Amino acid sequence: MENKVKLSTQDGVIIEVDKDVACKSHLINTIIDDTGSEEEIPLPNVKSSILKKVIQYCELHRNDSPPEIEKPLRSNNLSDCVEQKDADFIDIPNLEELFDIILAANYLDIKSLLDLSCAKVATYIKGKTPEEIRKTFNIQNDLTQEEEQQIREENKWAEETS
Amino acid sequence: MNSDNISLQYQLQELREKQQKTQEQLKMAFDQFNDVVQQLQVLQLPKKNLKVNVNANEIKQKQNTKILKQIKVYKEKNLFKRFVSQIVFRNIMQFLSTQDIKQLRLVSVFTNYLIETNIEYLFYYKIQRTKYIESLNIRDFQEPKIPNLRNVCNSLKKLMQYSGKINKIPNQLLSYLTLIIDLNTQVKSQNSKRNEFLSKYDILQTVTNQIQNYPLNWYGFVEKDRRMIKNISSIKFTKNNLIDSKEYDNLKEYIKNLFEFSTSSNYKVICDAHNKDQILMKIQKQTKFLNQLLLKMKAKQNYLNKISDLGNLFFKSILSYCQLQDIMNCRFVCQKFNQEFQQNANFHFQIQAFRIQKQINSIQTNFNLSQSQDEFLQVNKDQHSLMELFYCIQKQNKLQNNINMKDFLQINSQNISDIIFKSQIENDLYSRSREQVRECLGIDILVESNYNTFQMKLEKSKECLINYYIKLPQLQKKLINLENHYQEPQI
Repeated sequence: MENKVKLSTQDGVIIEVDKDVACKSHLINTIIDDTGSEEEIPLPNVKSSILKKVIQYCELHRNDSPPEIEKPLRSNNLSDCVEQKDADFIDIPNLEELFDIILAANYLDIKSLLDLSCAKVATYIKGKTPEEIRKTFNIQNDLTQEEEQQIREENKWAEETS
Repeated sequence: MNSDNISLQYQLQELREKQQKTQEQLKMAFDQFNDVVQQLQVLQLPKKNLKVNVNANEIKQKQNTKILKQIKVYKEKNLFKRFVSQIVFRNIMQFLSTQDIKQLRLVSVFTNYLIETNIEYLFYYKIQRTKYIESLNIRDFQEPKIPNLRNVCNSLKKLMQYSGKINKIPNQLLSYLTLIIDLNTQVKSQNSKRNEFLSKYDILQTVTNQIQNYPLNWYGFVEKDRRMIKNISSIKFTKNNLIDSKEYDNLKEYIKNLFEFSTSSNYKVICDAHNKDQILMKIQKQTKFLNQLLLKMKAKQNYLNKISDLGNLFFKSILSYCQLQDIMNCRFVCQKFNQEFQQNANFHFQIQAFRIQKQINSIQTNFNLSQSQDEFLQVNKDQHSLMELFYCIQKQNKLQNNINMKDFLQINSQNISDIIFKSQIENDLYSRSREQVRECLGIDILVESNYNTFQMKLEKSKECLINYYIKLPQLQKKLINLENHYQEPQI
């Protein structure tokens, strides 16, 4: 029992997980240091479905720390840039779920997962036209023609002066 | 003497009962307090719920359904607006190239806003990266030994001349050659080119050409390439499929060294050191672009905008170091500040509640009668506690029964230490105190050096009481305040 920690999620589900796996999160690690691991740790910002994914990731890296991902990305195929197991893990077709993982990784303070999930979002932007990006993320073009023109000029100006 | 004893025993009994009652009350207060903390943590409105005499679960369910309905109605379709905070955006931004950033600016007002407000961050990130790359020196690392493949090339050419022999090429050789081709393929993200070869002859021809004209760059493999090398090196070929000719020894060594180098733990650092000049040139170009853009942005912004545009970084991260009062005050700074604090109320609430609970836990742990620092409060048979004796000495009273625990807070530690260790006065109270100090604390009052230890212990015990009787109610009040202020933005 001493090696287990109970995590209580936003939707009231209690998930029991190995302490060393849970401690991949700096937030949980700090809470355990402060208050011990006997009591449930409330995670009001994380849904159970997302926490399960996060735990899955922590278990994948129970015994190692993933290498840092190269910035900027050299390819928008993530499996070119990260370990295959990480690329498979983050290959989530539902973008909302992917963003939920980012928010959970940020809240739980798991840097490697935050990097991996952000890199995945970056692959949806890398090498794409503004219209393609809008379509991917459901963004409406609310720039006026003047504003768009101004941005184009600023981009050009910054590039020319460099 | 007998009547004195009876009276003392009676007083003692009364005092014990009182102490027990106080402890029960305190325990009850703690339990209630913990309930409040727990309810606050799950973001309920406990007081309102308690007043209504219906099943709490039903209410919770109704609330959840209501919230779910609201979420359904107001769910933002724009995924960037819904999920991407400044901190998250910064992480995403680091993976993008200058070209991607330029395109993203053209997507919408919001994405452009995110870029503009984070350009400074990216700029400093590039500077940091430049400093790191500059600090690397290839001479500090063991570079790999790359065997020359010229002989292999000649052997392959001979093989092509006698096309009959091509069919007998062992699998090991074929795998090594296709690996070289795959690693040399320009578009790495596409599927392996191996499938596009029509024949073994094609493979030989391509690899010969590549070895002669495009030697493999060992310092630029991505994860996928390294995986391919690892996979080929881990294949166990059967005896018939092994390379048996010595003319391919260089190739075998080449692949072996390639595997060892590309899978070594400091591979990326060595590559950075090897490609130092090119990387620096690239970063320099990006940094200049960002700098120019930054100058343009800065010209557009005023000071207030700069602070408020920091968005979540400022309102979440920086202010999490502040007290509740600071956060409340900041709401009055301007509309933008007020709006941000309302949006981030949940976050600030959690931090504050967590801090308060931590303090409460610490007080609870320290206020434990079995711990040594509370030996001053312990009462043995037919005795008063040391604190009671000290209180009476200080007040110059005879022993009384109605001493409130809070009265102990008035005890002056130095004064009592002086009396116990230095005073020549001899009366019943003084001598009993000295005996009890020896008995309970094991401190010999004839040894002058024990003076400081005694005073320190007494002071610590008093601190503990202060925490319990003064700080704890304050914390409780603070938590209630927090609860009220937390509900405010939700109304």
